Amino acid sequence: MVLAALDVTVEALRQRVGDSLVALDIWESGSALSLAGFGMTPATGPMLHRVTEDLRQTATLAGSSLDDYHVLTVTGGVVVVVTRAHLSGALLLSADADLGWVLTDVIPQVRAALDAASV
Amino acid sequence: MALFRDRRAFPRWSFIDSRTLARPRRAKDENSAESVPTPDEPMVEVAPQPEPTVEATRAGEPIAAPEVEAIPEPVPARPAADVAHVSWIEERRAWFATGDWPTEASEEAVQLAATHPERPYTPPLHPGLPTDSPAEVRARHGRGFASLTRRHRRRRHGHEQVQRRTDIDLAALEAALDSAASTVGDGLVDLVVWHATTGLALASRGHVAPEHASLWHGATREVRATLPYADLPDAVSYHLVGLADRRLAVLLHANPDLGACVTVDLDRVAVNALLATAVPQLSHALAATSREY
Repeated sequence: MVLAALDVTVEALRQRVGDSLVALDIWESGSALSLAGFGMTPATGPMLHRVTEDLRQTATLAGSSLDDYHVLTVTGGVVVVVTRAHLSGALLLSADADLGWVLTDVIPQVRAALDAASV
Repeated sequence: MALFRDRRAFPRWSFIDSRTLARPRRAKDENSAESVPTPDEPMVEVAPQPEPTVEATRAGEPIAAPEVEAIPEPVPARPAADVAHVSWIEERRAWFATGDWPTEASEEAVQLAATHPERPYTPPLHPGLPTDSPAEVRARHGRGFASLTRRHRRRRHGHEQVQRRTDIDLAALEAALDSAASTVGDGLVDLVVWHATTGLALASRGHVAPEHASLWHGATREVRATLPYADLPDAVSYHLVGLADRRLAVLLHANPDLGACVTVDLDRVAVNALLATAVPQLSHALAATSREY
C-alpha cells in the first residue's frame, strides 16, 4: 500500500462525488488507523470503525451478515461508511444528497477506489 | 428555669433547669464535702436545756424569788459559720454580682435538655450552619420524599431525569404495520417495532426472531451514543445498513418511544420510493401510536 496513492484516491473521489462531499476519511480496516482524508477529525475513523464492527456483530447475531456499507443520516448531512478488506472509508455528504444516488453510484465508486488503493 | 441557647447551633431555645447549671466558683453547697462532717471529725452533742419550771405557791406567803439553777458551762460546738444555712438565692445573687457565670449550658444541661430521654445527644463534628445552601441541597436531592406521591404536582428541575410515561396504542401500531407492509409491497422481508426504552418487541411482520428487536435496539443505541465521540452531528430519522443478499435494513430511531427495523430486498424495492414514502409514513404512524400521559 502506497500512502501517496491514497491522496490520489481522495482527490479522485472528491472529483466524482462533487460538491456534495463535505469530508472524507480513509483508515486501515485492521487497526482503524486513519491514513488519508480531509475535513474530519482523527477520532472519526476509529469511532466509525467501532460502530461498523458493532453492526457487523449485530447482523451476525440476527442471522444475517453485514454488507460492506451502511449509511447514517445525521443533522445536516449523510455519513456513508464503506468497509473493505484492507481499507475503509467514510464520506460526509451534504443533506441534499440523494440516497438512491448514494446507494447506486457513490458507494460502488468508493468501493472501487478503496480496492484500487489497497493493491 | 432559665433560657439558654444550646450548643447545637439550631435556632431553637431549650428550657434548662437552672439547678443543673454549673455552680459558681468558691460557692459551697449544703451537700458539699466541706459542709458535711467527716466521720473522723469529733462531734459534740449538745445537751438539751431543761425548761424552767414554776411551782405554784400559796397565797399570802411572801413570794420568794424562784430558784434559778446554775447555767452549765457552754459546750464548745461547731463554729456558726460552718453550720449557717446559705440562702440559695443569696448565693446566686452573689454569684451574679461577680459576673463569673457560664455563658453557655453545661454538657450535663444539654444532655438533660435533649429531646430523647435516654439516647445521648451527639454533637455534630462541625457545628454551625450547613455549608450547602438549602437551594443546593434541594437541587441535589429533590424536594423530598413527600412529593413522590404527587407526581403531577412535582416541580421538575433541569438536572433531573424525567421518566416519560407513555401509552402505546397497540391497535394503531398493528394498523401502521399493515399500512407499511402494503406500501413496501413484496420487497418487504420483515418489519419489527420495539419499545425504545426496553427493547422489547411490540409488533412484527414477516419472519422475525424474538431477539431481533433487542439486537437492533442495542445497535441503534450504540450508534447514537458513538456519534458525538466521532465528532459528527447527532443522528436523525433513520440508519441504512446494507446486509448480505442485497438486503437493506432501515433502522428508525428518531421516535423517543418506539424503534423499528424495516428489512427490504433491494432487487424488489426502489430505494428512493422506500425512503420517500414508506419510511416517512411509518415514522409518522409510530409517532401517532404513542401518547404521553
